[in-house]
Amino acid sequence: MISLADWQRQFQQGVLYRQPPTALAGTATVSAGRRFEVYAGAYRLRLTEALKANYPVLHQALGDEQFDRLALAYLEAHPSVSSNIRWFGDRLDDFVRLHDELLSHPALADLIRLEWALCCAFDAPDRKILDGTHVAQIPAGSWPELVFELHPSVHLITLHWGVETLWHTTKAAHEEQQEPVPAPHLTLVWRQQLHTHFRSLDNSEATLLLELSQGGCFARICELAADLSHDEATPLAVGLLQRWLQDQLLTGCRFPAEGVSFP
Amino acid sequence: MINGYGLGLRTDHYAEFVEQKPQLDWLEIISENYLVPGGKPLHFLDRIRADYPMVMHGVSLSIGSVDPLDFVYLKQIKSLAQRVEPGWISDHLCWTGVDHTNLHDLLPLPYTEETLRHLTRRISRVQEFLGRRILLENVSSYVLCAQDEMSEWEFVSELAARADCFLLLDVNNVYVSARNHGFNPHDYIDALPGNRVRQIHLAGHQDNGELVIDTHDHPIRDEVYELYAHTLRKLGPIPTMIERDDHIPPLQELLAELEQVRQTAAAAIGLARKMEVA
Repeated sequence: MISLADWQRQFQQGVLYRQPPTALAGTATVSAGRRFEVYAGAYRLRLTEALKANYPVLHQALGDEQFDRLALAYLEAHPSVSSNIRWFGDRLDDFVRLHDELLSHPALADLIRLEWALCCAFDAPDRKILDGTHVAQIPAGSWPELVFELHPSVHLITLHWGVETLWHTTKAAHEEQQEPVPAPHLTLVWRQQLHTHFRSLDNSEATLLLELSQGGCFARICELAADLSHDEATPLAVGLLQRWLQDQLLTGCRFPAEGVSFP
Repeated sequence: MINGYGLGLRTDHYAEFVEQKPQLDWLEIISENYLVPGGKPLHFLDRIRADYPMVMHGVSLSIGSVDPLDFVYLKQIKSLAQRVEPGWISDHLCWTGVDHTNLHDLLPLPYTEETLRHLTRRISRVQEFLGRRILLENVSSYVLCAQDEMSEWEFVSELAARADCFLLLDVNNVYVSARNHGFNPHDYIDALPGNRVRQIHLAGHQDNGELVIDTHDHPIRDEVYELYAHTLRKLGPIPTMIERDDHIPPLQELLAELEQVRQTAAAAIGLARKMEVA
């Protein structure tokens, strides 16, 4: 008599390794093996579809055959351990570092990082947004100590290739694809209201936003702005701050010394 | 109070539910789609919930697994239920994985005394934790355990009584399993405890001849309408919905299909009443 635990372990091993367990009942018309294959096949199909949902542009860039090969290799290495299939593919970035032969171009590893960041931004926690009216009420003397808080959807990711163009042309299904060029840079991914966005950052914005994301106060951001552009430090820092407010990247600010948060 | 006829809420139809508010008695949500921190899913959930009663339907409870119950998941379900205030919470009579792996499938259980005892304990713990009785849905299956000790309908009926839970009857799944295992689907329906069946799912399937596959990506087939009518004649009116999971058609098409469900139900219940009077 097979126990419930043994039934489940044999069944799961059977699905993972495509070997039907022994305790199955077949019929004269349909063998137990053919019946079991419904589960083994559906498992691979379902998880491949889940990966496509999280990496739609990578799927388009690779095409069905190559994407399926990547998905099955990933599934074999990293079966899902989450109760929610929405998170399947969270380790694809690490996986392709060890298996770059599964990608037709090294820039696609960057595309994976970009798509996963977009995926995480999509349903990141909601927060109230800091707007210009709030900022205008901050006393002038408090500005140097001010530390800004970023929206939880904000991701700053380091990319090595200019994959943003590839993302746009692939998504628009342009027939002529330009080959990505090596271009190390920082890309900002975030959600504004319900819509996800990304843009590559120039050196100035990358430096200042990275500092802000690490808890640097406004005085420190201005110091860095001065290093980048001695004569135009204030317009640079203030201009970027206005852009971040417009993009709804900021959710609040605080004065650490006084333990006060705003708004 | 959930009554009448509903649909499964799908992302393709968010805008129409928000903007046009089509006439519909209730909606069923897939709980896992809203177990996320924020963004579009929860935004639309709240907006649509303001206009429609809802029930919650999960796919990850894995009530039959020999792994420990996942209380992190159950806390999320409880929290979502506080937000949605659903008519009820349901999941499936199955397991989805073991040893902390999740195959994300609704896998068959052996119909044995051991499984009954295991499920009864776990359902009681879940119902105690959620503070309510849950509905469990029969899944379609393609294999049976060679050492089954009873039929699926005997198993389901006994379980509902022992665990004091409700049932979500998927009529399409009964049909699919009946074809695949060669039993009469009427035997299944006729054996069910009518007072415990609180909801019905209807869906389409793919008929491959020797094996019928529960795809939930086609309109409801005539043979499932027939079995649905039989079910209502036996059990009386039960809240019913169409569960379409793939190849999602325009909402108008699903609403038209739901009208056909409503007419089938009205004819079946009318006939049953006439027979009672006679």
